[in-house]
Formats: sequence, structure tokens, C-alpha cells
Amino acid sequence: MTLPNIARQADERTEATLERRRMTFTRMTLHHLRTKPLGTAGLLMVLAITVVAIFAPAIAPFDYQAQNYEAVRSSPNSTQLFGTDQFGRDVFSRVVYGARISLIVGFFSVLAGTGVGAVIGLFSGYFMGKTDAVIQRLVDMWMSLPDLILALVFVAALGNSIPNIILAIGATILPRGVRVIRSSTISLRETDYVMAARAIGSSDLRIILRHIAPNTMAPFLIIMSSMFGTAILTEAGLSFLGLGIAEPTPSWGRMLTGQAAQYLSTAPWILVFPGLAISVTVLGFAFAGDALRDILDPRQRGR
Amino acid sequence: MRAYILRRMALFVPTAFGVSVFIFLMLHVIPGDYATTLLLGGRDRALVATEEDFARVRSQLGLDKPLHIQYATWAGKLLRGDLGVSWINRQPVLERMLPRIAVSAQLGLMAVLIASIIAIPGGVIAAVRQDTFIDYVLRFVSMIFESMPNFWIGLLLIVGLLTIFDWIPPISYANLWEDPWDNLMILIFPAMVVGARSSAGMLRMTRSSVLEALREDYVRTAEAKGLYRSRILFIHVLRNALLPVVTLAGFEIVFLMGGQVVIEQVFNIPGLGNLFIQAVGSRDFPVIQAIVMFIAGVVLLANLVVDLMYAWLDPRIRYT
Repeated sequence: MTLPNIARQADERTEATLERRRMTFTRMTLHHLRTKPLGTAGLLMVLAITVVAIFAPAIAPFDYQAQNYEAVRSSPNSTQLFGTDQFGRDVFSRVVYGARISLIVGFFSVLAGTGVGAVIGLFSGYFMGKTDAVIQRLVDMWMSLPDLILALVFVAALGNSIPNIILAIGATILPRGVRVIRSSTISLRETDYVMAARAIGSSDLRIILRHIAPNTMAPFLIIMSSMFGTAILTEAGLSFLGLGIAEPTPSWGRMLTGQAAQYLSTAPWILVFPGLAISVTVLGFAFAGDALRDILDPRQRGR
Repeated sequence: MRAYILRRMALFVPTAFGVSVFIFLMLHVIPGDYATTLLLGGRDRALVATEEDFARVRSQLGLDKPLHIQYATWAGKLLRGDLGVSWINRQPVLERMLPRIAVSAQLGLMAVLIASIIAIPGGVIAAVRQDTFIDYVLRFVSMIFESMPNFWIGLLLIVGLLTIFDWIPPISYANLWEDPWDNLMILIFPAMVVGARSSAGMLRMTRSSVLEALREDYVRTAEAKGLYRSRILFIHVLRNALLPVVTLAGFEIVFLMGGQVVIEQVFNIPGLGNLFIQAVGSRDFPVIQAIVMFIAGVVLLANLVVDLMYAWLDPRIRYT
């Protein structure tokens, strides 16, 4: 009679613990949102831009390609919120659509770069030895080139279609993913539970996938969020140089390029708003990334 | 120690070799034929060129040989300091690069000087006054600087100069030795833009480095001895805390040689980045290869020098 009772008690206890844990998780999140106003602001900025990108056709009042020669370079007014550019295209609509390209290129290049980097980092850090030494030399080599130069080499070689640009920017992010994941793998492989897994005869692949990879999630998310802004800036740089996203697809970097600079003093809105859009987006990711790091990596707090 | 130095220097060779293979393959195992690009100028100018023309161009450029032969030829010349000739105007690549390297190096140096002037005092103040209003403001501002694309800051700066001072950056470039004043006036604004951005990372690094040093035991000892705070800060803390910052600054100069591509474009500065963009635009592969090799080589060399300097300066680090 006593046995099931104990079992039920234990059950209730686990249930209570889980309940408490769930509560603390919500409370912790709320706590973070309250104590990290910048992080919250960043998160809201990122959310807002994502919404704008998804619902661009509904939000943009005009077609981003439509040229209205009766309203060329007209200043911001109630119908054209951000004014029109040198071809009479609505700057607001173009900025709205530009969010799509920035986020798409940013997201996929970061995903590809950190994803592939993480896989390489996992194996490099786990096996150490010669493979690791070779991979680290490759990473050194990769990192010896400034982001934009590396991206430009890819674009020069492959051409500037959107997938190629994602590949080019992903390539600039890759070595950083390798470095970060490798260093956390190296510390994880010395932990007791990995030793235990090895002792009961788990294969290397199983140890990496089941025991190490899930624990590198925090650094992985941190590097992803911090690279997002860099990726968007690199894309803007490429497009600004005329070697990124091609017209007529509206890209924020592209909108600042070429002829636009001539209207610097007479029609500054052509330049101000796309640049502002880039800055706000990158800043949003920076704030959100910092807050994420504080939450996921307590050792870095307050640094 | 000697073994470490030798091993570290030996590492330079495979890494540099790796870069050369990478850049060579990138530009050679790609869709499209340079002979086509070259003869038709990238445009679809009907087929005025015959098959023989293509074959002739290919053999002139050595493109008809197997890939490893092409690589060996290029790498061999590279080692002898021959960077080849431009495909576009037949000028020796080295001749085109040299004056531009000087311009980019000067711009990088000026930018890092400006960055240090902002970042080092800023970072120290932020650390000493940790978690106060001024700390938050400094960190906030540095994040904003890092979020703005530098070409955009550059464009806004030009508008500002134009509307407020009615001043436009000179259109033609002035040489440092012939016309130092004009030269400085041309480079100061791009240097400010690049410097503002570099200062952000440098400020954060100074801050965390000073914070770390402030927590050290020897600082507590110094306080216990009753030394003045200023003396502790300047003699004990900064000496130790600024070493990594100075290293970063050194790196930044080297890195900026190739990292100011966009800003050189905005301010029309005839630097290395500017040449690189031209070469990419016209698919002038010998020039692209030479510039990438140069930048990678300089950065790797700087890595080597810094590692060796650390081994020499910091006896605490043990090398095995």
C-alpha cells in the first residue's frame, strides 16, 4: 500500500517541479524583457521589419517598379511618405519591398554560413589532431580576407544572382561559425557525460549528434544573431557597389548607389530612408543579439 | 621558444599556399570563358570573333594549358615578384598596385589614429564608470556607429559638408609628397568615416580589457597601499589593459587596406579597393588575383608578427 503512494507522491513532486519550472521560464522571460529594455526594443524592431517584409504587397501603397514621371524627386508628402526617386518611383514602397531582400539574403546566408561552419567546427573540435590542424589553417586563410573582398571574389567568379550572393555572404560567415562551435565542442568533449557515453561504447558520431551538438545550441544561436547584421551590411555594400542584387529588385544598398548620390543635396530623401532602414534593421539585430547572449550565456553578462 | 618561433613561421607557408590555391581555383573553375568575356567585352556583340580568335586569345593568356600548369606558372611568377599584366590594358599589375597600396595604407593609418583617439579614452571612461549613464551612452553610440553602413555615413557627411560649409571634396587626388595639405583634406573625411566604425569595436575591447585589469589582485594591492586612483589607473591598469587594444589597432590598419573598398568608392579615392572594384567590374583576373594575394599575405604576415611579439613580450604565455 505504501509503494504506490510513494510513487504517486513522487509523481506529484515531479509535476510540481515541472510546473514551477514552467512558471520560472515565463517569469524569467518577462524578467528579461523588463530588465533588458534594449533587447526588447531590438526584438520588437526585428519583428516589425519581418512583418513589413512578409506583408510588403499589402503595406506598400505603390508598385515598387512603377515610374511616375509627373512626380520625379518629389519631397515626402501625404501620399508618398518618403517622397519619390529620380524615376518617380515611390521610395516608401521600395523601402518596404527592400526589407524582403535584406531579410532573405541575411537569413539564408547566416543559416548556410553558421550551419556549415557549425558542422565543420563540431568535427574539428571533437577529433582534434591533424584534421583539426588542417581545418584551422583553412580557417586562418579564410579569415585573412576582409568580408567584402571575399564576397566580391565569389560574385566576380559566379555572377550576382541572389543564390550566388547568399553563397558569397555565407562564405564570409562560415569561418566564424567554425571557430565558435569548435571552441565549445572542445570544452564539451571533456565533460563527464561525454566520457560516460564513450565508456558505454557510443560511437563518435552518436556522441557528437546526441551529446555535443544539442549543447552547442546556445553559442550557435548567439553567433547566428550577431552575424545577421553583418550579413545585411555586406549585402548592402555589395549592392551599393553595383555588384550585388540587380535592378529592378529593390535592395536598400542598391537604392543608395549610382545616380542617387547626385541628388544628395536636392533630394536627400532618396538616400536618407534606405540608409535608415539598413541602420535600424542592423541595430535591431544587434540589440536582440546582445540580449540573447545575456540570457543564454550567463558568463558573458555585463561584459 | 626557438622551436615555437620556427614552427609558427613554418605555419605561414601552407596558409599562404592555401590562399593562393583558393583564389586561383575560384577564378579558374568557373562557368564562362574569359576569352569570350575579353573578346566580346561581356556584351553580346554578335559573333564578330571567329573560333580562331578565341583560340588565339586563350593561348596568349595560357588558358589552353591544364589547370595545374597554369597554377604553377602563376605561382612561380608570384614568388619571383612578377604579378603578371592586366588583361585589360596590358600594364604590369605591380606597377598599378604600388601607388594604390600607399594610398590605402595612409587612409588605414589615419582611420585607425582617429579610431584610437575616440575609442581608447572612451573605453577607459566606460570601464571606470561601469554601469553609469555615461557607460550606457558610450556603448549605445558605438552600437549605432556599427549599425550604419559606412558608405551611407560617408554620403551623409558629404551632404553635411556641402550644405553647412559649402565644401566639396576635391575631385582629383593629390599626392602626399607633392601636396600634403590637399592630400590630408581629401583623406581626412573618409578616414573619419572608417575610423568611426573601427572605434566601435575598439571601444568595446578597451572597456572589457580595462574592466578585467581593474579586478586584478595587483590593483587591490595598489589600492591597499593607498596609491592615488589616477596613478593606479594610468600606471597599473592601462599598461596591462591596452596591450590587446594596441594589437587590435595594428591589425585594423592592415585589415583596412582591403576593408575600405566601399568608402574609397564613395569618396573617389584611388586606393587598392578602388582598383579591386574596377578589376571585378571588368573581370580582370590577374589584377583580382594579385590584390587578393597581397591583402591575404599582409594580414597573415601581421598575424605572424603579432604572435611572435607576444611570445617575446609576454613571458607568462608558455609555448609547447
